[in-house]
Amino acid sequence: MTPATDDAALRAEGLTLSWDGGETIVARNVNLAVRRGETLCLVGKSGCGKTTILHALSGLTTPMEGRVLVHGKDVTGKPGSVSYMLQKDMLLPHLRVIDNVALPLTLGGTPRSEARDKAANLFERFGLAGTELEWPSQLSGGMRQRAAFLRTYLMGNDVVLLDEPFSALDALTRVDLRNWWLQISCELGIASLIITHDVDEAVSLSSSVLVLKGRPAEGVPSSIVGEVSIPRNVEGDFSLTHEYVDCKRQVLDLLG
Amino acid sequence: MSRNMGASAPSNARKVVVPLVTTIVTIAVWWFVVHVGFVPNFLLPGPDQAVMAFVEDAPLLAEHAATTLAEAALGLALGTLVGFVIAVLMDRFETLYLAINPIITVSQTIPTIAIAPLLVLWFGYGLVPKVLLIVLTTFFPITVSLVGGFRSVDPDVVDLMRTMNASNWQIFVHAKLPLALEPFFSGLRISATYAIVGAVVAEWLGGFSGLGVYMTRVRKSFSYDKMFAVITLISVLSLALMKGIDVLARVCMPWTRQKGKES
Repeated sequence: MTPATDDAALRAEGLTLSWDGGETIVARNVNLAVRRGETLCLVGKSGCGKTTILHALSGLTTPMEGRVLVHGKDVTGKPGSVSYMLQKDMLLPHLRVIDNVALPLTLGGTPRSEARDKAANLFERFGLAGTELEWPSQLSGGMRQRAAFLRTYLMGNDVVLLDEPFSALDALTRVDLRNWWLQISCELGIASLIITHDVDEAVSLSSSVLVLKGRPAEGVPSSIVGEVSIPRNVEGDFSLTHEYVDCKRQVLDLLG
Repeated sequence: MSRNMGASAPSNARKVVVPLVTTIVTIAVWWFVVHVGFVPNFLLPGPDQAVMAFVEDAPLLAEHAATTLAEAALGLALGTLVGFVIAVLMDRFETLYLAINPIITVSQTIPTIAIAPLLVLWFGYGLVPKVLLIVLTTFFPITVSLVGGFRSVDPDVVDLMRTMNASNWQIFVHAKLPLALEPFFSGLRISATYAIVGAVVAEWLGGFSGLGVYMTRVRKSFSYDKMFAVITLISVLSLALMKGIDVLARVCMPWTRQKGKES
């Protein structure tokens, strides 16, 4: 498992999570830590409880046992300390793109014009220049996702949880956006935890892949069965190297 | 190839021409059966007679229509307000939803014509019973559509806003209310037609002015051409009100006018 370190931006300690008010144990003794600027991937098969873990880390639900720490502060069951990007982009159709991405600021009490200005300054960097006054329905899937990334960033937390953020995109846009996110999260020093069931995506994106395994619906709670460290100092296209294939094999072996 | 083209969506011209031709044919058939004598003229006046009656009585009809429209507008405004408040409370308090949902549904099974005499008995021949009847008939579509709209908001939107530390009020104002606007306007469209019909029914049972009062008078004098004139006017007013609501919906929801892009 990820070793306990004092510089962890996000840490989960011994989380036990349930569905149906405690009737079904989803995951037991989940421990993980993500450092500033680091991207960690949590992989597991569909239905193993990945999103449930993310809900608990975001504070939307309270675990049966264990706690969630952000920069050492206990935030268990308290939303707002980490930014959460859900699987769907969740752009509100009645708000223009700029108002959608500035929503976290507006909700926090920033005046609308100030929130718009602050968001507008980041449009170029997030590849959204020129879309400020468009409606979400006028954007392509990739652009919508970029807007969702910017909104997540404007939540103002340096810890970000991403629930299969690239799954709804076509293959080419997915690769583009993955590389873009890797670069921008490094630049902005964001600690991100991404959940996915795409092993290639996990190996391409993260510095470390955690493997979650279990069948909660059949009464077998999930747990983290292993961690694969991804070397990032490889020259050339990492996805074409032996190291990449080796990492992928290790993850697949752990998934069974 | 030509078969596929034929199965495509109708063109704008077709959308206008087909209903227009149907309407003209219907009026022509109506004129024909009356003037050839299939139906006695004292039972069914021809369309030309209805038009003549309309022209003849236009000033009087306008006066009565103003009364009916004023009652309908006031009743619709109050009905919308009542429907909105009930929907918000039902969405906010689950127990209240469970408690009053059956009562509201049952209230709509009582025919308007059965409640109207009671309202006249309790509140007299003035404006109050008419407006009350309209409120009773118009609040329901508003409540049902709004409650449905609030409940159909994706729970993930609510979760996302909670991660942004949004309060329940902020979630309501920024997400639930705007996302429920489309069903709200569908409900308002139905309520608008109910408002006109409600006003006319209330006027049947007593009053001094209004299209319902006019209708009762011409029926008693067997002026069926005038009956058809006023029936047509009521339909036109309902359609105009519905159209007005469509325009209002387009103004209030500019995002619905945009076309999506492929990803």
